[in-house]
Amino acid sequence: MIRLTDVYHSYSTGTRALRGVDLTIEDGEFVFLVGPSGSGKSTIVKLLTGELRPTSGKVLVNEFHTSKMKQSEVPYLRRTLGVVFQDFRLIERKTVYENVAFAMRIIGASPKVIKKRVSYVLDLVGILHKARRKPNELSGGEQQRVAIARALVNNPSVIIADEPTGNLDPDRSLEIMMLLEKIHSLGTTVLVVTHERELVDQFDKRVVAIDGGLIVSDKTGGYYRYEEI
Amino acid sequence: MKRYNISYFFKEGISGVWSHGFMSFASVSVIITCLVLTGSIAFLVLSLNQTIASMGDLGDIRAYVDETFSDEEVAALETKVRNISNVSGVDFIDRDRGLQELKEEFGEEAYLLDGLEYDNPIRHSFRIVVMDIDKYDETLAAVESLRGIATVHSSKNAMDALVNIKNVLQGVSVGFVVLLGMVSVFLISNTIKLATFDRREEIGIMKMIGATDAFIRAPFIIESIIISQIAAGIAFILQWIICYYISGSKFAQLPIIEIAEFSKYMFLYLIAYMVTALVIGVTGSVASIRKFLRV
Repeated sequence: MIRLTDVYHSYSTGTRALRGVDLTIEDGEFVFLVGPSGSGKSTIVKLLTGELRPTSGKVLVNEFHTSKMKQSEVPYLRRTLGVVFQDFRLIERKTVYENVAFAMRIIGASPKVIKKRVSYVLDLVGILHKARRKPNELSGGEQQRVAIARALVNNPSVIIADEPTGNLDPDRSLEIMMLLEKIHSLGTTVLVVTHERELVDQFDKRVVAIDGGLIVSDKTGGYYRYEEI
Repeated sequence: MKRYNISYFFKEGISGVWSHGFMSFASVSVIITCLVLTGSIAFLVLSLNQTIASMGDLGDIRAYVDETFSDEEVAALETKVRNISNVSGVDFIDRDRGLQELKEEFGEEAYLLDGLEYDNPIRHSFRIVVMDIDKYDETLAAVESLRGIATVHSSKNAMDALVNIKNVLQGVSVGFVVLLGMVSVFLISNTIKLATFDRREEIGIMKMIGATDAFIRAPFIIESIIISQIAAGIAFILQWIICYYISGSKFAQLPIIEIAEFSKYMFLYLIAYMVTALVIGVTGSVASIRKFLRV
């Protein structure tokens, strides 16, 4: 569960990124967070992952109060999340298998459990046949599938995808979104941060629109709602 | 720290040593230089200590008694000498024994002293063993001040010279440890800094998926431990060769110096090298990766 209550955030440069955001995402929801560049979308992602602390207000993510948590608790918060980035953020010198297995290694899983679970998630995202390849031998869509597999492997309750289709063509973007929808259907909360209106319009999901650091729309039903802002 | 991760840390640490070949080589070389230079000076200090210890006679004070003193007065004087602080032993040498020792010193020329036993000119004396060589001057003055001591012989200048050399070498040795230790920490820290800079994106990814600082830091620390222990091992072997060479050299045959036996101290050397290199390595690596962990 994610809950932001009256959250403000200002950067040291003086930029006011968020100005009183209230947002609740219940367990099992699929939510698009949309908005133009500089609207505050990335700031919200960073607050949810513990990379930033709010200037004021409360941020609750999976029982973690990120606004007042200790720095040493941040890794444990992140283990309850699966984060997918626009630029995939895969470790180039590791194979597909090792990239995904690494996320399990950091929580101290045994080799036997890692092998079983990694094979399962690679199969789930349709990339098992390329498990021994390095990221630079894969297409953008395939790399994003690996990133999603890594996000999924520790069975997080929330997946946060930050512009997951930003580097992909429309067909691959749709494939990735359908994959995220499949993961949602298995019971995982999914938050997709994007500014691709056409893509959002193809799914009948809750769309939260943000602009100028404020939530300006929060409705279910796709892109046309976002167009109103 | 889970047991499954240990092999991963070692695998990553070993691969880091290889992938940063030149910097690893530079770090190993500097640590070896630091250890061998310091170790060689320490070996000289050990040899000097042994030389000083073996020159026990040289450190003794020989005090001659006024020939007008009666046996009772001599006995009373001996008690006074024994009561001087820093005196660990007193050997009374009567006139006959004094002459006998002199003859032994003369060796083949002892016949030159023939006939002296009938009119022995040698005085009774005390051979005084000094406890702490650093308080030699005070002890000597105390002996000289006693009534009944006619004259005193000592090898103060020779002792002073040896003790001074030893002290200077000890100081130089400490200076080397500090100076070269700092250079080693700097170099090893740069090696690890280079490694972390190379992998800064990777570290960012690790942190984003929930790796703790300890998990990220461990392979780098293992890398520095491997570097430091390789250096310690090579330095130990080099030191062994150097000491072996010195022991067999002409320098070692000189009667003025007694070279220490390396085999007596080799275990101590090995431990000291391993620990020193470890401290240098771990200090350097921990200091350098902190910056990249702030994600």
